[in-house]
Amino acid sequence: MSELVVTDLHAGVAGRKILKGVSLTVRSGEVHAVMGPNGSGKSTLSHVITGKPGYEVTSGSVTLDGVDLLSLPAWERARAGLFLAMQYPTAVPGVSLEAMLTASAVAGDRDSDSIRAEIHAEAKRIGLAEALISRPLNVDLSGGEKKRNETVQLGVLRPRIAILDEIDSGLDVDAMKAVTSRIEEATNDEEAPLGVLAITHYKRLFEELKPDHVHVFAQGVIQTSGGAELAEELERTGYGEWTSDEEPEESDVAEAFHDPFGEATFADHLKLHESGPTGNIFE
Amino acid sequence: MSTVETPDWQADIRVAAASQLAELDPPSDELEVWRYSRINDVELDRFSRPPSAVSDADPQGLADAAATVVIRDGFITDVTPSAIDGLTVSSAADHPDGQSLYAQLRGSADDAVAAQHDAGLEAVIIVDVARGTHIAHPVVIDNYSDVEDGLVAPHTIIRCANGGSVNVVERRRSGDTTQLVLPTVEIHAAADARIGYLIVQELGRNTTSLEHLIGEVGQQAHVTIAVAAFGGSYARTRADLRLVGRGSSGDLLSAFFGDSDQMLDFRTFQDHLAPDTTSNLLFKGAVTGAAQSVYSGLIRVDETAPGTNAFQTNRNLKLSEDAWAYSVPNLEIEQNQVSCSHASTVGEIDEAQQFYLESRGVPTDVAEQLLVSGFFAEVIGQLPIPELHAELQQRIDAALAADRELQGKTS
Repeated sequence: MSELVVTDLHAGVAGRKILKGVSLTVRSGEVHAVMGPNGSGKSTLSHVITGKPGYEVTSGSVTLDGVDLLSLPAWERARAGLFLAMQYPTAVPGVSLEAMLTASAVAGDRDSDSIRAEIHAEAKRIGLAEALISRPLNVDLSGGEKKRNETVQLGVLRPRIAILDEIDSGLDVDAMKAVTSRIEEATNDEEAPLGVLAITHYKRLFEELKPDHVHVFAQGVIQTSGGAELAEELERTGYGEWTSDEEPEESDVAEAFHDPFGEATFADHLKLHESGPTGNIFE
Repeated sequence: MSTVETPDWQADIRVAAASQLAELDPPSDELEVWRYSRINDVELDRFSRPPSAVSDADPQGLADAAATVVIRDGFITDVTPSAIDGLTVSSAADHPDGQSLYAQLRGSADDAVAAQHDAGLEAVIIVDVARGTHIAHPVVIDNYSDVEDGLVAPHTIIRCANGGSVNVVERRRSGDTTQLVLPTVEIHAAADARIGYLIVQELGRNTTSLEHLIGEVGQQAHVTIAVAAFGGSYARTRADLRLVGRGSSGDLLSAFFGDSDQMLDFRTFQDHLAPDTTSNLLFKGAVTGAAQSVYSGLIRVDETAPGTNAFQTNRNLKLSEDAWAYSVPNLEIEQNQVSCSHASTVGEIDEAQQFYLESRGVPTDVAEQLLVSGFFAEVIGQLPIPELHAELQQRIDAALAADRELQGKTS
């Protein structure tokens, strides 16, 4: 049995406070939904827990089975059993799903020979085209393919606790069903049921993935918590009750990172005709 | 060690160049083509041509080579001639047109570096491919030198007649002695010919190398000139791609990795001199430690070259605080009907990409290695001689691993 415990977490970006005292506990087999308006800082919560650079934790703690996650680099948090399914999975030119999961397996003392077979089995299960396994990660993938890809990784890595950051965004109905039912299955695994923290805006995520707890997140804190019925209620009433007139918070610092690789192929250059020199340090 | 005798005309070239040198100004970084370079630190006249070959490093060939040439300390020590009809690989001494082919593309020496090359002239290799002949396996030229204050000036001429095709790989290695290496390569592709040329440069860290590569591409022909550069103290490549035949095309490619206090310096010219010509340039490099790289490239479109397509991309990965990558792309266009682009970037490893891999349990140093490999994969996959892709990718992985160990950044 695993337990992710977030206690009075305060964090922000560049001196700006986004999380203002978040506490919550996710145990194996449980599905927690964190729902809130856009720009409320929901994604920040996922990033701070998983160790994305660029955030500053000012107080509070996050532990997984007693291990202090905040003191660990991101990859050690993953090894401790944490997984993040990203809202906008990063494109990684030149690195394939297979290469990444093999490297992860080697680091985690898992049999890297069997990883390949596992990836293919998971891809088949979730309906990810086999060709995508050896192609660069998230490069030129559709929204549905990206989320299926994230779910394949979850299936192979078998984390104890998974944070799903808006996994329903950019998904068509079929992909939605495939992804959520696979995760629901993982939460019912007899040997090691997955604990889920699902960050979302809409309740459509919960048609397959059944939440045990629903938390309303707004203005940097959990405003109220309840059972699945709270998601129904939110769908009717919206988040008006918990939002103020304040301007929306910076919710996704991630997308501000620039891409110095800019892996343009010659085909891409054709679209660049009129572009002038970029990054010329002599200018 | 037995070496191939050189003919009198080569001795005449040496003598003429030596007297010419006295009158030429030494190269200076005040000239645009040497800007940002370390040329002012190079004492050209300190180095002299060794009297004979003394190094006997094991040849580095390929399992399947169409022909192999071994050059030691600037002398041709072995030529395994081609057994293939339509392919001749020989010393200029044994070639009927050796003298007239020499420096046909470069022209007579008009600066001190070219004159010094001529003054040190010894090995001149000519690769000839007959009309319509397709040479399946690469021709290998293996250069190694290790003579203190030695001047080594190998000269390679590759000619492909109409419709022929060939790949040539040239390895450049040297020992730890202080040396000056001045290679010149001239590539002639006749109509419909296809030539791939690759240099694997792993020179010693006390070697200065100034090389000049020239490709002239005939009608509907294609030439790829590629350099994988790792070694040398100051190693410079100048590459001129001249598209002279209608519908001709060419690629200039490089993967380079500089560390410690190396300077890797690249000057490229994509000269469009005929209608409907296409050139693609992709140079990708990483610098770490206190290494510096210079990329300066010029696309020139002549008024006689409507329908030109010319692309130029230089991407640099800066892996340490003190490393520097200079990138200066340029265009000079005298035609309206052209499609040109140039792009250059200097950046560090992308933080978001690094996080993505780490969030899947990939340790920091392994994630870095995957990203650097991935960065180079795009250009390595396009290099001529696919048999060498895996070796070059491993060479980059090894350079990165050595650097990370030096910086104490391994997990």
